[in-house]
Amino acid sequence: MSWNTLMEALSLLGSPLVLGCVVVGVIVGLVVGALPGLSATLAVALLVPFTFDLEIMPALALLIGIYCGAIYGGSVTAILFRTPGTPASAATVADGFSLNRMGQPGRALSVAAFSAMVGGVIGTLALVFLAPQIAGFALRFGPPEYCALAVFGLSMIVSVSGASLLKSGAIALFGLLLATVGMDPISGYPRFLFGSVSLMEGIPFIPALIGLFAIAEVLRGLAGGEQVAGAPNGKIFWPTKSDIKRCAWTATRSGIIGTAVGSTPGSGSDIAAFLAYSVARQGAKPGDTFGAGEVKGIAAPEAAKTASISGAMVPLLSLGIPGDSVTAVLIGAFIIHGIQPGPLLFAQHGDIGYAILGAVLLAHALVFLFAILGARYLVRVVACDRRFLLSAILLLSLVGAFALRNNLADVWVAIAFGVLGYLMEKHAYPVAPLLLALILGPMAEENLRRSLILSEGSYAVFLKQPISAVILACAALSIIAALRRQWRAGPAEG
Amino acid sequence: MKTSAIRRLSTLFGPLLFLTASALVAWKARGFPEAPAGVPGPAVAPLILAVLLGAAGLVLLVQAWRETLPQDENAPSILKPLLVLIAAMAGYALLMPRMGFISTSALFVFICLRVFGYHNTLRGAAIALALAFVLYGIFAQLMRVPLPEGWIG
Repeated sequence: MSWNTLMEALSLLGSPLVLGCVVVGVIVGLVVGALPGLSATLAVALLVPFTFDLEIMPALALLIGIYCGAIYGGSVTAILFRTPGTPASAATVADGFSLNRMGQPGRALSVAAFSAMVGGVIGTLALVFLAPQIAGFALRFGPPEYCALAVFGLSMIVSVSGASLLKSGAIALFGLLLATVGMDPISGYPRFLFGSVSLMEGIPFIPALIGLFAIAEVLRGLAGGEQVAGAPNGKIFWPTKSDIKRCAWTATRSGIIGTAVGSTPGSGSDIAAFLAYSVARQGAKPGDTFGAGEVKGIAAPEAAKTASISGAMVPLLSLGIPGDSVTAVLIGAFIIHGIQPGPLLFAQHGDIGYAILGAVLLAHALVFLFAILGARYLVRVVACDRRFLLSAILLLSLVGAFALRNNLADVWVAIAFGVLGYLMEKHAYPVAPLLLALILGPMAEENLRRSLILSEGSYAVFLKQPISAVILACAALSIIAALRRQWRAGPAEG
Repeated sequence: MKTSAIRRLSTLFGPLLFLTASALVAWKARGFPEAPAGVPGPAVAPLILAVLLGAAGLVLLVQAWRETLPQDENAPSILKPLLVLIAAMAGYALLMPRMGFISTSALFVFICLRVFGYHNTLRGAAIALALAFVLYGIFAQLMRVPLPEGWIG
């Protein structure tokens, strides 16, 4: 990187229009991400047409701001209402919402904001310094490695969800079965459609997520429940020194996990968040209260999912390959504005390349600032009448499910998953394995079958490839560790 | 049906769901086309999962059957409001394309408020209508989501 290129990049980034676009993008992203049913992908996709009249840099700054804001914004509703605005925020629900119910919503939001910034900085530094190495490593992944990665993700979540490994495993298998609905990924044969064309692309994930979390939560609200206490008005919730000290290592480690997962094409912020949460929970120390308001349980997913944003940009900027669905939309925006992301981006448009990196870093800093300054307004919402809140969440959930594809079938999916989620929680079945199975199922099946086609039916292919063998060994170890833990806890819980 | 029988059936929710799903998938997957020799076809993954889920369902069924029923006789029943809310959601999905977004949403929120115990009719109606308009503004105007107009709007 030459001095001139850096100066040109700073000059591009420093223009009032670009700075304004980052600010507007972050604010819009925070709001949209907080609305259940409106994912970061949807927000970026819907707002791409608004950038047609802009120059390349303001347009990208706006979209990057929305991306960063929306990924964090989803956690606001996850913490305050147990309603993750984005799939990635689902991992924050357990501890974030528990802390909120303990009367500390401001603390939960400030820890989330701090961890998100740590993850964002780590991810962006990795993007700047390690992009070629990480992208090169991810390029080695073939079908066996992707299949092993999916198995690892599932094994981790099964091993830490709920007291019963059998119940967690059964619900993960059920989720994997649901993930086979739709067109077969290899032959295109339609499976388990039951006459519904809307299921051709599989069970729509966002409506299912809205049902499992938002609608199920409202149905549970019928049993009563105390009014959630709001924090004192007028106070800005800065993270405390003790919380920073307690979360620093978890956030740093999760930031590294998030960057690595995000840079692996196909593995988005949702997988990063769940994986980091699982790792943090596996390494819990005596006194840690994961699942019951532990700040490390907020820090891990928040840092990981924010870091995964930068991670996802590694293959996007260096190879032209999208790391997740949002960066897939961003590629479209690049091309609309006449820029082809890939190995030549930094050689031919170094100023724009480095200005993008600067915009990502700026967006993370602004998300932290707005999240901290806005927390005092957000926590007031929690203290409003619970009857209004539950009614509004239910309506918002149904509209959010519809808004995704303007399809009423998605509303029915949300309702069905809402009832399912309610019954699952009532009978102590964890929701997280079902959710992750829905995300990882298609990836696991497609890569399992591709691997078997390549190996002419031999399952040994997974052990012959060193990377997949190591990942599968880690998966087996996580299950063995969970079995051992359960055995020690006593047979009653099994 | 006696309360204890309903509660017993309720504890079997998971195992029965898994066994039903497993049987349904195994039955439907039998009709899927076969792939060439040595290459896994579209039925392979669902069948493997169905067998594993069926086995897990059977073990959970035995476990649930042996369990003693939880003593929650005094817990307030939420069955009626639960069914009303589920019916309201189903009604919303059915009526929204016909009646229109704002009117159906307002009616839906009004019913929800009643179910959750808010009985001030006038204020409830005003809040329901206001919320419907706000969401219409966000989704239809700001996010450009084409919401149904219907007969009423």
